[in-house]
Amino acid sequence: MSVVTIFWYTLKQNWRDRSTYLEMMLLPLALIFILGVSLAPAFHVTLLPTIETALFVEDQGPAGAGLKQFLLEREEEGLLKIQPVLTEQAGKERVKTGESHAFIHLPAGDTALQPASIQLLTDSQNSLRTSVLESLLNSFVIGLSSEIQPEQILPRPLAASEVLPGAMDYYAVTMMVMFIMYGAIYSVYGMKHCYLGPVGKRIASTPLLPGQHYWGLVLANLTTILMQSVIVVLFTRTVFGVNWGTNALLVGVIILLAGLVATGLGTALVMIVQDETLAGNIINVLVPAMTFLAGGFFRINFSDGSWISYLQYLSPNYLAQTALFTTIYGGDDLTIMVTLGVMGLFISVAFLAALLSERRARI
Amino acid sequence: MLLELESLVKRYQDHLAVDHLNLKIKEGEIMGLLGPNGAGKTTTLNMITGLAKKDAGIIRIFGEELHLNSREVKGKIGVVPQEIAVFDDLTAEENVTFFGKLYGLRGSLLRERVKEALAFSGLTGHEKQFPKKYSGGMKRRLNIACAIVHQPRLLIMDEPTVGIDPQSRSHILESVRTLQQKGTTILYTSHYMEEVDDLCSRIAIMDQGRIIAQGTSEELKSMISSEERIDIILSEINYSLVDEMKRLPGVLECHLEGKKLTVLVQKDSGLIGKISQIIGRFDSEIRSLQVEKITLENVFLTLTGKSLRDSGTGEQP
Repeated sequence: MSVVTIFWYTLKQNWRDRSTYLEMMLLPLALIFILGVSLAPAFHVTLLPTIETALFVEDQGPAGAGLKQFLLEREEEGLLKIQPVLTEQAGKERVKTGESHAFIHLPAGDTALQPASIQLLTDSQNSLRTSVLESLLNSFVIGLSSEIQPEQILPRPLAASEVLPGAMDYYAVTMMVMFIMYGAIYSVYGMKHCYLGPVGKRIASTPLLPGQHYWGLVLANLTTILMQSVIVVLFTRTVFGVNWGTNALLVGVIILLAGLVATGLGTALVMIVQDETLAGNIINVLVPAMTFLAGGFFRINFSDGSWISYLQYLSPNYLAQTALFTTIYGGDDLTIMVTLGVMGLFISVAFLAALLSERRARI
Repeated sequence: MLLELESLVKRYQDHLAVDHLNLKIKEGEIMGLLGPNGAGKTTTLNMITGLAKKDAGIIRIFGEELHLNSREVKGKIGVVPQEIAVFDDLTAEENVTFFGKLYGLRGSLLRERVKEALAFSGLTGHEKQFPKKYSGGMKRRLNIACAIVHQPRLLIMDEPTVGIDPQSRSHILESVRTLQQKGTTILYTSHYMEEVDDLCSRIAIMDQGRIIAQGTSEELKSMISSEERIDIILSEINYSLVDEMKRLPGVLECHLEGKKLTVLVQKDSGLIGKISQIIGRFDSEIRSLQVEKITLENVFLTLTGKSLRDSGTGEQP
């Protein structure tokens, strides 16, 4: 019951600190709006026009059948419009006259297992079309060279506007995560005043157990952060039309873990340095740096395997953002599990450091 | 004994903050604890309230050893810290309710005790206000209300009247007396010697981690002085009376400076009547007479070599 008493009265005080509470909600909303509107063009996805493609397949083997199937599937996706021709000359003619943007020709191979090279002729007026077709044919050839039967060729899914975040969607996630991390400030000031300060010492002279006191405060500070996050999610979804995906439970779990990281970080910092001003200053430097590293202000693509790409895993913002984006935009489950696992590790280390420092500081 | 400290020791690295301290407090008394800065008072209070761990010795409260049953013992102790230790963002009523809950009070009993504590502290009518709107004196009274809501058997008050107006101080001192009359035992530290002299049934003086003297105010005063000084302003100057005074048994010294006659006599010698007769015989009259009182301040100064007000009492480990 005493945990509930500490929790409830701390939450009440956090709620009554209106200026901080409003700041922690209005600032992310304002930043999401400003960045979302001003940087929208940078996130704009250009839809590819359908490429009118003449097709002549002479190969009667699996390569020929596979190519036809592969291109027909791209036609179903709306990327191509296939126009079968009966001769090579007819295909070239269609490109010359502008009836087709490109002509794909697969001559008969020497044997069924040795197909000839695929020939591609384009109108050369649009390099984007040419590069799209080259990419498509390359992916087909790669699949074929690994001796996969045509019916087993699985082309890589292509990006479409509905599965990529717009600027508003992107910044709603990154700014919310940044302000969750700023929530560490609640722990810094709350712990200093209510645990290490005069009131905290007075509470320690009551029959309350130190653990009840500690966890009551941690839960209250965590709840404060979560309440703010829920308001930001609901507001941006309703007013800005931000896509938060369909898996509300998993999004909630990620926000909860991010909140725990922030609470743990703030608690550990103030317990280690025992000075709320210093701990607050560290957080004010750390959070923007972590947000930057995570590409929270603008998207950064570090090449996979580089040291900086591994460094990103040290940023709780990167972990939370990655988990959220992967959840919302349908990425692989492994990424979500890995990021949540690393966040769990962060939380364990932070609270362990806080507890050890608290015991060491006890007189 | 309600509180017994036996050979209590607390070290901070090489510094011996409390050095084999022995102290006993009887039920129902107000024990004053005086000491210069760094004497070990706050450390001692911290050990009694469980905020600091002792290195050696025994703390027995209500007949039980503190470390064996600290939660139950702590439930019967109230602490009024030196600093104002209340939440600014909770109303006075919420503050007192919060501490009442921590001491295990619930329901109608809690509401009743909160009301009583606020009324006792003179805060009725201000219970819905936030402490940040309070004057210094009101904050101090709320600080006390939070400590007495559970009606503790032992109340520890660390400088409860620092920096407040005379009216609030008077209210607090009266409250302390009332609490004692109701049976609460009080351990009281203060910078104000006259407060301790006036309020406390017994006083312990601490220095360098030890109790160097303890007893009633009178007992302490008698420890340091076997003499009394009598200052008399005369109507007429007459040097012959000085010799006459010196011949009186019990007079240790006498001299005249202008119209001021100073006579040093043995304590409680009862010579004032005889002195006035001599002055009358020499055709002079007494215009004023003052017997110098030994104050607790003198006792403190003599025993510790330090002035209490200059030294402060807020030592921190």
